Amino acid sequence: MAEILIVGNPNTGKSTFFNTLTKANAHTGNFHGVTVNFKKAECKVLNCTFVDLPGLYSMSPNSYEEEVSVNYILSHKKSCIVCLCNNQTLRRNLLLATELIDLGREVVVVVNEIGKKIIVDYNKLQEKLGVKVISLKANNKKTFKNFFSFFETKKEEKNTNENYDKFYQEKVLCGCEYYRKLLNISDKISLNNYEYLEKNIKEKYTKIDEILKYSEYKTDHIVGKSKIDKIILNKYLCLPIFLIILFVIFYLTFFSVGKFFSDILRYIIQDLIGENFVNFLNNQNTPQFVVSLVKDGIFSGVGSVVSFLPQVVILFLFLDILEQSGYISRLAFCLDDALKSVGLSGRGVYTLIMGFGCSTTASLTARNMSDNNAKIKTALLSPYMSCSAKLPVYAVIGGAFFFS
Amino acid sequence: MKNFFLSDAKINKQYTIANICNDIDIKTKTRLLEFGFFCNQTVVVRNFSLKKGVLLVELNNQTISLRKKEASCVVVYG
Ligand SMILES: Nc1nc2c(ncn2[C@@H]2O[C@H](COP(=O)(O)OP(=O)(O)OP(=O)(O)O)[C@@H](O)[C@H]2O)c(=O)[nH]1
Ligand SMILES: [Mg+2]
Repeated sequence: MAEILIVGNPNTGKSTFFNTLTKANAHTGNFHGVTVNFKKAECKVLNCTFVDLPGLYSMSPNSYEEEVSVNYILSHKKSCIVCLCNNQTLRRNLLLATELIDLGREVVVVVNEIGKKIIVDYNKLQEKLGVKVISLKANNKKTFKNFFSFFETKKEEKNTNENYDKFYQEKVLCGCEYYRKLLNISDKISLNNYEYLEKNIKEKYTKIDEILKYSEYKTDHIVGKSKIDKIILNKYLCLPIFLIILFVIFYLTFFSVGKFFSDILRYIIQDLIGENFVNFLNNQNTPQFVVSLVKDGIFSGVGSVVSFLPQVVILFLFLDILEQSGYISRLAFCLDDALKSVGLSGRGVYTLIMGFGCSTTASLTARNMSDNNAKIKTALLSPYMSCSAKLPVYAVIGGAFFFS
Repeated sequence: MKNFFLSDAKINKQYTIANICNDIDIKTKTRLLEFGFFCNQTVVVRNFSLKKGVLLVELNNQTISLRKKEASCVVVYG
């Protein structure tokens, strides 16, 4: 079965695209470096396997998860590459796409259209890039028609003219550590490398700008701070706002809404079902130790663990809202000073907040941090975030030691 | 016109990049160039954290966050 790699810059919607294609449930989030390892799943429609790879800015990896992607791309030379771009950041995204095309790989450029403010003539873009360009919305399968029909009619493996040697030499001249290691080059990086690097990337961007000019790439002024950003990113307000948000989340989860549903669930399990079942057992003259086992062990024990389910669900809901809304990337910026004073980095916020949901998966997301020292510290700290699976444990220990 | 580092730039004022110094590791320089930091491009600092640990910089209609280390090797004027 053919394998198709989904490659692209971080946060362009690769995992969203992958999930829509394969009905998998890869983790998505509005933050750079959400995916930290590759994930495979089958697509029934096209009868092939898609691989969701961590985001990377170019073929010069700068962090662990980018290396995972580059390794995968370079070790699966036969696989077709879907290079996912985002229409809002197309210029930067095309840098990776052109690198892959220059490498001689079989590339299909897929432009994920988020927001509508950008005008690109995709036919012209396709003509200039020399590879198929398809536009779609990653979260809407109805827009995938062109994508499916292209792959259904696609001929077997094109005769690609791969250029690996030239590509490696170029990267080595650019001083890229990854390729220097690969080719066992140990001489020191010199000023020449810096100059070559600058020239190299400049050339690539000149080419991209020409292509985009031809395909009428227009962007309205989309960035700049919105009113909400002005408040959230305010120097003095950002911390209080964060604390209030955290307080509201925990209040709703553990005291008001969450507690309400927990109490209902506990009532149903222990009082309604449990009590009646125990009465039934008593009527049947069941030995007392069995009744006690059922009453105190199964219904009380399981009941008190299961009754945390609503709180876990609500907590995850809030964490997902935080993640998808882009608040966490703003938080990373705001809390950078505070976290740096304890030897962490702003990017660690993502790991720490996700730690409330599940510490194990959260500690993996620390991988995307470039500072090694901060990375290790963040990963070691994340188990201390009170993750949702620890709640029942607290309840059991608390119940054992503090009866009232 | 006086040249200075992007890390000392005023907020919401437009500057032109004069140069990217070479006294950073090549990895960081690669990333800066890949993000589009070249001579003659215009940049605007939109925000920075209290002690300027990170700067939010606008370049080519995109907001990019730069660490102080990175911002202090981008030379600008304007
Ligand atoms: N409105 C809208 N949002 C989208 C679309 N595609 C992706 N997103 C959002 O964009 C954000 C990033 O999506 P991901 O799929 O996690 O991005 P990714 O490319 O896998 O990112 P990394 O794993 O970090 O490299 C998420 O918040 C998605 O909900 C889309 O077509 N429309
Ligand atoms: Mg992803």
